[in-house]
Amino acid sequence: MAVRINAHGVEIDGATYPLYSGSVHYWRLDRDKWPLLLDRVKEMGFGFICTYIPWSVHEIGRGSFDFGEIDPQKNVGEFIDLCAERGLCVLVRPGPHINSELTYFGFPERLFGMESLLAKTVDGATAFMPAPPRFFPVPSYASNEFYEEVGLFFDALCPILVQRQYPDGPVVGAQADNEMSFFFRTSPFDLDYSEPSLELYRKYLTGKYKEIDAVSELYGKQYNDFDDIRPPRSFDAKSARELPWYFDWAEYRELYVFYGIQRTSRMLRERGLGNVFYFHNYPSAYPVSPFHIPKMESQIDVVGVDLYRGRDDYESVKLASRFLAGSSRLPFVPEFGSGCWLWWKPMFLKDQRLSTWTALMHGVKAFNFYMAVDRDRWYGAPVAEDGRKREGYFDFYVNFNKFLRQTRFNEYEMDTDILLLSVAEYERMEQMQSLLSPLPNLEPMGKMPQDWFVPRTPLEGLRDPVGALYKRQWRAMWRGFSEAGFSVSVADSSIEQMMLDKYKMVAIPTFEFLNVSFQKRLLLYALKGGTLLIGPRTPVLSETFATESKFISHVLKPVDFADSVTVGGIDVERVDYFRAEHALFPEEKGQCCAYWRQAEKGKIAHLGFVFQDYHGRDIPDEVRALFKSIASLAGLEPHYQSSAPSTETVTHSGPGGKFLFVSNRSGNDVKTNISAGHQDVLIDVETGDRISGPEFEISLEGCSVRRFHIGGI
Amino acid sequence: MLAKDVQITGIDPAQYERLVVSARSALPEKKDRTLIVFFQENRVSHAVHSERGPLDSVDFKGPGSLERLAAEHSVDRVICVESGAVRRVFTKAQASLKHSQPLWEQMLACRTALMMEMNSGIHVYPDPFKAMPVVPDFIIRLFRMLVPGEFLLTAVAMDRGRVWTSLLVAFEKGEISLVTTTDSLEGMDREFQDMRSAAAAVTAGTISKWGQPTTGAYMEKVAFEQLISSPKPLYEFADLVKKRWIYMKPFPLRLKVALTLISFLKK
Repeated sequence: MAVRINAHGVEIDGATYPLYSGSVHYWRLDRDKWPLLLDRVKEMGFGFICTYIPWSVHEIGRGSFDFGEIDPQKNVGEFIDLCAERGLCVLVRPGPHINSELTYFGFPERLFGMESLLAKTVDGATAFMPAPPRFFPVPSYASNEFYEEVGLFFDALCPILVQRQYPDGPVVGAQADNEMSFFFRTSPFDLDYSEPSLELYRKYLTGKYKEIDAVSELYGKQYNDFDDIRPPRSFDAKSARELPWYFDWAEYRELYVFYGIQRTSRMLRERGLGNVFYFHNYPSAYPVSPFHIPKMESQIDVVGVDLYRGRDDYESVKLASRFLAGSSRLPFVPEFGSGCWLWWKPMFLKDQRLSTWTALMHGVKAFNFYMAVDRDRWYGAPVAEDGRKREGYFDFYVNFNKFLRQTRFNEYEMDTDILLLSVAEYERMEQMQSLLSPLPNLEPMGKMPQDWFVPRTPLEGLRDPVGALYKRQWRAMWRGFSEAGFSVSVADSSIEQMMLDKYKMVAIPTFEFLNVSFQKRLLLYALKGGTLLIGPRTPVLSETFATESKFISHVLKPVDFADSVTVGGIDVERVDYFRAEHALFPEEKGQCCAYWRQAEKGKIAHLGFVFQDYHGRDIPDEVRALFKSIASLAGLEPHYQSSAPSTETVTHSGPGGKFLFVSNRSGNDVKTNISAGHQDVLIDVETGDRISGPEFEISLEGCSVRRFHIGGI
Repeated sequence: MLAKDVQITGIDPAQYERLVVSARSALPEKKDRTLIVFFQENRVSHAVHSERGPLDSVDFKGPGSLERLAAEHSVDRVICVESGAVRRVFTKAQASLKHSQPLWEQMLACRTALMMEMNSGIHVYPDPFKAMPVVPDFIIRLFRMLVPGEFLLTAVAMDRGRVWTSLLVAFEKGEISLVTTTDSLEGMDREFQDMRSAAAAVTAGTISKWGQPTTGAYMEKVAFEQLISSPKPLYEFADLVKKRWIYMKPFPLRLKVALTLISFLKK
């Protein structure tokens, strides 16, 4: 009897079930209405019900709880039984943090009087979560005392869940805590500086370095004991040699999140909830440090991101979906906005329609729509609290689920040839150097990206201001390939060799230092036959700034340098010149700033410059042409290219053939020409209309996504 | 501000969407081109333009030169932040926060922390607090006398005999304890003959679900749109009631006095 996650959904005793879920909060709904509401969710085509189980709602005094004995609306066991009667599987989210717009996020108020279990800021003050209707002090996830209190709740709750877990009941999944993110205060020098957290920090350093002398040597400071080590409280480094101390703090903060989720899931498992899959959700659409999907998935089954996105957020939905598709075991959005809370930007049916289809188009395979049924402090779910079907909303989810089930879409794969990697060390550096600190940045690719707030003076020992330039280069690669018509997935630098080898091309911004084991994986990928794109610099240093380069014999040494030039019609900065056999741009005086070389069975392409910042600006045609020519090194050609600038296409392949998705992110209706490059037939999934040709003229409403069968299925 | 156990329920998304769309179209065009200057001892350490990104050179001559900077860089707003100022705001705010405080007190604590840095470590042009109207103290005291401690308001805009958008808000001890729409009431999804019958139905529904409303304002969509597009909505409201474009039910004496006072202030 086993429940696990695979790339297509939830596998229960060998059979895979697509994970399409809707959230229902039993304690906020009339007990008498539960059967009707669950029927409605099932009618929409959902196979899973997801619910929080809030600690503060059930606790009536320390160690005593009401699970329906006093208030029938709190009878979570009965709610789960009603799901079972309807053949619905259940995902439970017992916290302890649950948010859900509850006052104090589901923590009992009594915790706030227990000063020793609260998280502390860099200044030693109690850290507050500024969320309406009351700001509240947040617990430290390093505190044993906190977990002892959580244990009281889990002790009472788990017997109810255990007897209802698969195969005896419908509970097949559990969430280990919720939105673990230092309560959205992700700035590296904000929290948690509580004593238990500092103890955990030193334990992490002890585990990593074993001997204190190794730390003294690396940090360039004299320590007698691990207890002597104090964490950084602001970024004051002048030279690269000082960075390991900061990097370790950043890595520790990632571990802190990991530790909290690991410990919460372990507590639930120890109390018998062992026959379910475990999941978690990050609150950031594009999860950078302290979030880490692959590392987290080494401990629990699947980690996703929350998406509450409107009609103006096409790009961020796309990026989040691509990141999940490239990084996660199952691209899953544990909270996909179907409705919203009042103190977030208003969202309605048009927003939900665009974001939902966009996520599917760009690789999301599993959804929990949050909420399926309206409740206190929420609006816009497809079902009202009394069971009425919301006009437009209800039918949208019926049709969406129908499409997914009829096509067995969970078995399809998004066609992707290029993988763009992000680099943990560079991202950490960007965060630590942010002048906005301690303001958090949960939108690293937002309107004003975080890298704009990083000083542009390089640290001593480095040629480039890495924190200020890394994301700029990354954005140019992301948009360059995407807008040249290629399908690009995204993952981070912890990716396994096996995963790298799946792609024809791997691109990554590189500077002088790079994690050595990562360098090895990248080089191996190229030597085995892949095409690797790097630059602006060749990594010559390790993550601890020791001289170590795996690439040196496979790339060229620069022979000259320029601050800025225009080359091939593209303005570039911080330019290295090489004498290369295969230049990517026309040579000047026998030198070029971008080239490629054969590396055994594969190729390495090197862009020896930094692109202009294209954030919020159109990229020049010449940049698209450059990325098209780079992709051609791996034998890649764009397919089904769409002519209108606000549109794009993606294909998915699966058991029934191929689907073509065409999106229009702009608010205006557009007509676009899609070029297949060969004779083909498209059949509109909704209308059944057929279009033939190598060229297809397609009309798209503003903010919409159309789906076609390719060639007829 | 929101009560600790505020109930926000029965929000009809269609009604809310109409409200949002109307409010957005009534708002003046957003001016948010911003220049952010980080400085230390009157020297620029970094500058960011909200549309152009980081800037190489900004001729910063101290906090007194912000208007000139705004013109030079074609921005609507300049924010100058001294090194360490953001952290100081955080520190001061957190030192004075308590979870037992009502939300308005918590927000006031944050505002006070920010105000302590304003014109010291943080400088903003144009001054965001200058635009806020200063209401004389006696007016505030008078309004407090007129406004009961607990009350329930209903506001409904109608279009062709149907509820177009609505808002029901209850206050307890000066805090919002309920936010809902007519969606939470029985029998609202129908056509009403006139404003009076709509008001009677909404009042009856409110009494049965949420209790006796203190007052209710009923108007046609066109009056609602005029109200929200007005730069002085309170005066506009008093005016529309006077012209009978807004039908009040119930219409307590205190409110009549308050509206008369508002009309008087307008003059």
